[in-house]
Amino acid sequence: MSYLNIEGLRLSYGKRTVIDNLDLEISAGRITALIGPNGCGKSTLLKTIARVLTPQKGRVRLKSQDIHKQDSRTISQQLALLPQSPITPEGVSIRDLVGYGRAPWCGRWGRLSSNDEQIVTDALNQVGLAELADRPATALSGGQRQRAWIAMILAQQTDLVLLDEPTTWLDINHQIELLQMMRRLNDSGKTIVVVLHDLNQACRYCDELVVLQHGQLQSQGAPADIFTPQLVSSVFDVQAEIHRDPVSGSPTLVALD
Amino acid sequence: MIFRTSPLLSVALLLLLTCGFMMALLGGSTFNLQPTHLWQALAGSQTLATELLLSLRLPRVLIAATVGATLAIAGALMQGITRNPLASPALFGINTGAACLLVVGQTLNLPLISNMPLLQTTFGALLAGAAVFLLGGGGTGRLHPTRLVLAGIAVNALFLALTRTLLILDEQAQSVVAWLAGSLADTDWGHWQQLWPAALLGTVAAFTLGPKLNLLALGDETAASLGGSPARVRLHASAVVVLLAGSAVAVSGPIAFIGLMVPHLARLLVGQDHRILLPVTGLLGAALLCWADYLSRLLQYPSETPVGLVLALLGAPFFVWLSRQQQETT
Amino acid sequence: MALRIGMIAVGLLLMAVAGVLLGTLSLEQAMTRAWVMQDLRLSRVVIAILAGSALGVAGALTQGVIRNPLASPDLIGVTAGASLAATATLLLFPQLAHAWLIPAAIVGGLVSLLILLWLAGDSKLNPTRLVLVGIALSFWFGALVDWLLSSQPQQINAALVWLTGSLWGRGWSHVWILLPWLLVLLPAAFTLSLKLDLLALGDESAQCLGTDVKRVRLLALILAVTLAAVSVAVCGAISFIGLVAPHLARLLVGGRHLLLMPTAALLGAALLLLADITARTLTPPIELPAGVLTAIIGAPYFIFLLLRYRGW
Repeated sequence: MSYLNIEGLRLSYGKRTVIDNLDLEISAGRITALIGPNGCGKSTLLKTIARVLTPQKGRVRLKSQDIHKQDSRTISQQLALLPQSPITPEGVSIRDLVGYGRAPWCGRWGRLSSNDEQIVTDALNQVGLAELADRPATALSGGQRQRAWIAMILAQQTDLVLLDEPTTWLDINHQIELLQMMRRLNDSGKTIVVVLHDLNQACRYCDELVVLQHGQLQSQGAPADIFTPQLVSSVFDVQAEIHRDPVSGSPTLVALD
Repeated sequence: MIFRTSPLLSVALLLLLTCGFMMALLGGSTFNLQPTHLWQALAGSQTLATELLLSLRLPRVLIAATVGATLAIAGALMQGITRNPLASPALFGINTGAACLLVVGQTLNLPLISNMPLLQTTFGALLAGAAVFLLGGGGTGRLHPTRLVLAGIAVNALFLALTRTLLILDEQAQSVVAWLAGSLADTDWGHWQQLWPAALLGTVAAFTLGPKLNLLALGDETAASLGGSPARVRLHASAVVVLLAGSAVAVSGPIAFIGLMVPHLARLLVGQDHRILLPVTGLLGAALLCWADYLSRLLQYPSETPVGLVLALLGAPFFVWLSRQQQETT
Repeated sequence: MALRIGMIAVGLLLMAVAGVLLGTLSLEQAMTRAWVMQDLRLSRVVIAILAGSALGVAGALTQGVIRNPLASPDLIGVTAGASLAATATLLLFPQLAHAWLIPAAIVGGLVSLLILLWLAGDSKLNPTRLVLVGIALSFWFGALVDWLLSSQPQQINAALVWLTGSLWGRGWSHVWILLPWLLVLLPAAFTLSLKLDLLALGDESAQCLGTDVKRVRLLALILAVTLAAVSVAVCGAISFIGLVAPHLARLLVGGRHLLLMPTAALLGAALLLLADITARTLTPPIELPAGVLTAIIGAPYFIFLLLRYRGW
């Protein structure tokens, strides 16, 4: 049995069906990128895996347990999500924010044990925000804010991490910083599913691509195997050549005129 | 530009207005008034019925029609300059502001100003309108619908609280209480004399602004590049709004929801062109207030319900519907 | 830090209590008129504290749920709904005991919440839409209240004073009908602290941190409505405390609800006491309703918030 298994999934907003009859397997310990043109259902799929959306039909099973049949707390100990546009609350310090990541593990009042405190401190150190920990979260810049949220996900200590377009709104230096952080998360044993817009970044930083089109699975596999001019032209309607990235050797798209 | 108006529509509108006018003139009275009394009055005979018609009912209905038209046009202008479907004199606290200043004038009893209600209400309308416009982000040129409404709520609450304080402190001002609910019950020819010059001036000024408002609807930048001056149009239109709303409130008290509802109905009928929209809005507003006045006498017959209440009961559900629409478009 | 601020809040509260108790009397005068103190003023102080804290917590809950610092029970039409129900009870069944006002107001508040959710609710409870529809609803309920008043002119005076929100003529009997409700509702609200903290991160994050978003939101709204309705039933519609108190509390102690809600309760109590004492001493012997005072103080503060708020 695979790690994350999706079977016969259907999801619609009102009358518009976004995902129809989707079957998908995602294996443990890898970085899987969901890519596809706008409106293909990749964010919707991610949110369904995160249990934010409930499917009309079908199942999402994590370690052979249907996630929509378990309670929020149990699920929150197994998977974490970085939303596309997270809301930074007012009047909360960065340490508090990261501490919220411990919510699935602590009691009703949210009191953190010394063990929890240690985990929060470690998470802050890992993303390099330890010095700023007592500043208000709203005072952070865009890149720092994203790092604070990554720290929160670290503090949540889940196997599975879902990232919804984490690089949007970031400058290129922060984008790369974030993607490298994602790789480190993966190196520490976490399974990562990420929605990415930039195809070259997806090819370079991810182990596996899941290509969606019109809510259907178009193709799945390692970037080097499936990322071809034919795929790009049929899914994105772009004529392109695929070259090898001179640094990492991963496939890189170069558009033709 | 296509005028989406047919002769049929104009006839229907006029019919609506005339019917409302007649009903308000004759209906809902303890004294059994008949259309024949109207002919007698026109013919110049002097009975109790004709006397009643000429000295009580006629000014009241004329005032109802005029107030309805002015408030509706004020609403249409506000929606035009803010490009915000929720804009209207009542929501922006303009009515309450005018009412508050009038009560202030009554209480302080200043020698000259107390006799000029129009001046007081106009100043109040100006004060409240300017406050809401600025608070709603008008200074930065980015008016946000929710923000405008919230600013209106705050300004409204402030003026309302001030008015109530004054009323509690000053026994003399108690006479204003019925007027505060928005009522046409005690209007007479004196009020009509007060109302019509300002209303006429405001309406004519509003109609001349029509083409400029059409340009403004395209967005500030486009309007400017087509040779309009958005800032100046806004200023002119705001002055007209203050004049229209101020004069209406001075006579009838704060009547809500006409300014909000009628422009939308008119837009459904004739579309977005302000040259035709403004007159139709005026007609519809006049008809609506006449009918509401008639209803206000029927609702708890033989006693009268303030007409402002009748409109609030009708208008608030409309506002609910509108705010739902609002969310789907922004 | 939090302790110091808590002490400041308590100090404010004590000062306000002393102010209301003594009012225009000197200390010696006060000692000689013990009955005035006990029977009239003390009960009034207690009611102000209870109702004020109920309003403060109701505001904190509403702002937590709607995720908009400008929200409050008065703005989403709940206070107006409770007012309508209570006015109707007061006018149509004048022979009923005052204790019935509370259930009536609660029912009114909950029904208006239901209408609000039905009108504004998609599954996500969009905050802006809630506020807009709520404002429209309060207009409508307000009109219905006015209509009731105009149709029952013989009782209009009592109803009017009550409607603006006043502590005039409230005695120990009111304390006893108010207290049991608050003893249940306030602790229940405090247990939601952590969930509300998480809700502030957005629905998706809250869900993935183990919160049942819809349930928490509904529960918090119901608690907020009940708290607001209870205070409306006893003191009438006192506006803006539900808005101002939680906001000041957030400035003082930050956004963690475990601290925020008690502080909002304290500040709400202090604000209502201050409004009451000002209302009584501003223009003796005429007494202004405290609700007018809270509006005169609260509306400018609301405007100030509006100017600062950047979340459009």
